[in-house]
Amino acid sequence: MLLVDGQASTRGLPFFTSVFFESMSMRVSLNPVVWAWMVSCLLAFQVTDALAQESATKTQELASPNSPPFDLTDPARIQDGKKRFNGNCAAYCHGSEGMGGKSTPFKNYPGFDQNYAFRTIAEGRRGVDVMPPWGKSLTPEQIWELVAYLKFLSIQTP
Amino acid sequence: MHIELNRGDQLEKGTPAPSAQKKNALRNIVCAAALVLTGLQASHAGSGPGYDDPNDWPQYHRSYNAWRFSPLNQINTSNVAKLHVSWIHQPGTVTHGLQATPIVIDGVMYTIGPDNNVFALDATNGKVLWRYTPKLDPIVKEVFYGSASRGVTVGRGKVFVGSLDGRFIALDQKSGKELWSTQLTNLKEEYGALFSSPPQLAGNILFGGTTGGDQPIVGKIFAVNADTGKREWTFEVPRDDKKSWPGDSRLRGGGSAWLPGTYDPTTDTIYIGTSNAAPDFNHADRDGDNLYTATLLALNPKDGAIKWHRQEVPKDTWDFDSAYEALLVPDSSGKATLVHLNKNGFVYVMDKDNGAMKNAWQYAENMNWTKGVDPKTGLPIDPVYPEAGIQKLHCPNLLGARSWNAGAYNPETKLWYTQGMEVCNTVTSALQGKDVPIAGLSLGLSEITLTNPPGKISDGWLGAFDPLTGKQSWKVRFEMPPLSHVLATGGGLVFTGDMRGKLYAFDAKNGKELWTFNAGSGARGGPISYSVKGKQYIAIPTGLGSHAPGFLTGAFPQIRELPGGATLLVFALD
Repeated sequence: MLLVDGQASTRGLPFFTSVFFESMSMRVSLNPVVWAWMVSCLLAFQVTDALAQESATKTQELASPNSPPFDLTDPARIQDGKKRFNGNCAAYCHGSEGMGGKSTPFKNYPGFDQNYAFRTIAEGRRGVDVMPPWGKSLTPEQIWELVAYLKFLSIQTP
Repeated sequence: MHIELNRGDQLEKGTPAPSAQKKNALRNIVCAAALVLTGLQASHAGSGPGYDDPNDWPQYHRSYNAWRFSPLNQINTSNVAKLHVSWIHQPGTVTHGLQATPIVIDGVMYTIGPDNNVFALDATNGKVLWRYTPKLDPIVKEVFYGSASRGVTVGRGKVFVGSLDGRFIALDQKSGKELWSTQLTNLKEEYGALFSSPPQLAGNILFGGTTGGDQPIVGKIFAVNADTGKREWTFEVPRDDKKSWPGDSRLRGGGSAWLPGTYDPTTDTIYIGTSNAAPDFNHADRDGDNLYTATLLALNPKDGAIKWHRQEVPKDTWDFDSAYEALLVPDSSGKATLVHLNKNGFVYVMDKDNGAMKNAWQYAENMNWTKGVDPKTGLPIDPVYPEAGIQKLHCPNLLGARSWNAGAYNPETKLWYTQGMEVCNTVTSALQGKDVPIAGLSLGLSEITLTNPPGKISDGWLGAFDPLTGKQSWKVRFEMPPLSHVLATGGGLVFTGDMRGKLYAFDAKNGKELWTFNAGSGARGGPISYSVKGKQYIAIPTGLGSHAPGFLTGAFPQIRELPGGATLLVFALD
């Protein structure tokens, strides 16, 4: 009997990992250090699997969005994006100015990719944490306003 | 005694000297021999409420009085240092970690992982006896409160699940086959209202509320027949009362009951707390007391009628709620008294039969939203509300002076072990727009920022208190607020875990650290203890999850580096 979730996380798991899960159906008695090492390995596989799954989802779903319909440095658009971010994204998730949450802090982010940001907001992310998709709730223009605010934050000093 | 120790001190003090190790070894041999002589029973002392079914963990808080106390004492202060891993279970998905408190009955563990995956396990070795994976409505991928489950309920030959797509589901306890499923919410129209907590049993009534409280809906508590799934009654939390809810504000008033309630069979009473009103931080459209939000309810299980209620935070505008556990502890005369901790930094002590106030005491070290709580009326004194367009500092923060991880009460020490989160937030209130998306929340703010308490550094703690008076016996500080439930045992131990995944056993009498284990990912679920064939086990869910750790990154940037996971660790002595 396979002890792990057959829906998603077993995909890509090496054979020996599945066998190990099988072995866990029997009571075993090992040194705690060995146990800790084995658990670390298994968690690493799970995280790798979740990342692979996330990557596959991204390539399957929306293609790269078109270029933004307005200048992303437009202060009015940035302000609209900030207002929506504070109302929907800050509390419980990304924190004020994107300095909370589990993702990379939004300020001083030289690698900021506006198209990737658009796709992430539209499609959401599922891995260790959950970011719901906003593509059905917000218009592309509203999402681009959020991107404009994130782009603004990316060049701010923390 | 009142000691305060920091974590560094504890690490050294918890390491036994070689001579002490020898003494412990000798003591263990003697204890083991005694165990054999007494017929291999994981023994316990005491009787009555809190001591029933000593070998099991039959419900969310183990007993209806919400003690989270296992009478078992085979694992105790003298031998806990030798505790080691017996077996491990991994559900295979890690999203939002493990948040459940497992149930154990007659040697079988019933638990739930991310995305409503339910397992029945041999509690001696982790062998999977059956597994249930529901077919969830795809809309669950679009909502805010996704993936997380806080447990299952077992009784009447069934395992009950509150699902992520708004159903109560009953499974056959022996096979895991689905017996019935009743759709109770409409996620599309109710902004993703779903069940993250296990519905609870009150006789043949199965009851529970939806998660959150931050959605612009009429929050509800649902009750169905536990044997058939037939709907019995629905309690609408925002009362139909124009004085309490001006205009049509109740239609967007929130107020769900997002944690498991408890059922006191001695008085046939359901105790269940409700959430904050919505919008969370702006009451311009709901300028009344907003009953029955932020209220502890005592309900008749047959029809959902109110026996009594106590609203702890009228016109809640801080996201304080009143959703936490209703602890029943004996007073000096032995009469059960209700103790109810609120996110707002206060503990309310009341008559369990009518809600009359007996005391109120402050457990938060940093609190500025009120001058205090009147111990006679239970009402806040001169509360300081958020204001539109004005940034204000409020303590505690929106996650509360404690998160939803419940404390534990040991009837032998008469101490209540519960945790604290010393973090504040600035809030700038704002009118809530009408266009709340399905994944959005009705918060009514334009800014919220976690911050240190004035003149201090944010941190957390585990404390031991007289639950009736608040008198502190000991307190252990943590770099970051511990988010695991607490377990107290008849072995004089207090178990919990921190956000880094370090698991602890403390001496219940003085807070001395007696055992630790590095789980590798933080603890957010419920540690339990049980016994099978005379052997006591400690089970601790690990894998950091829920929204709280993510948001706390604003105050504790180091959280960003903490890994997720989902691993149930079970420990024993050999």
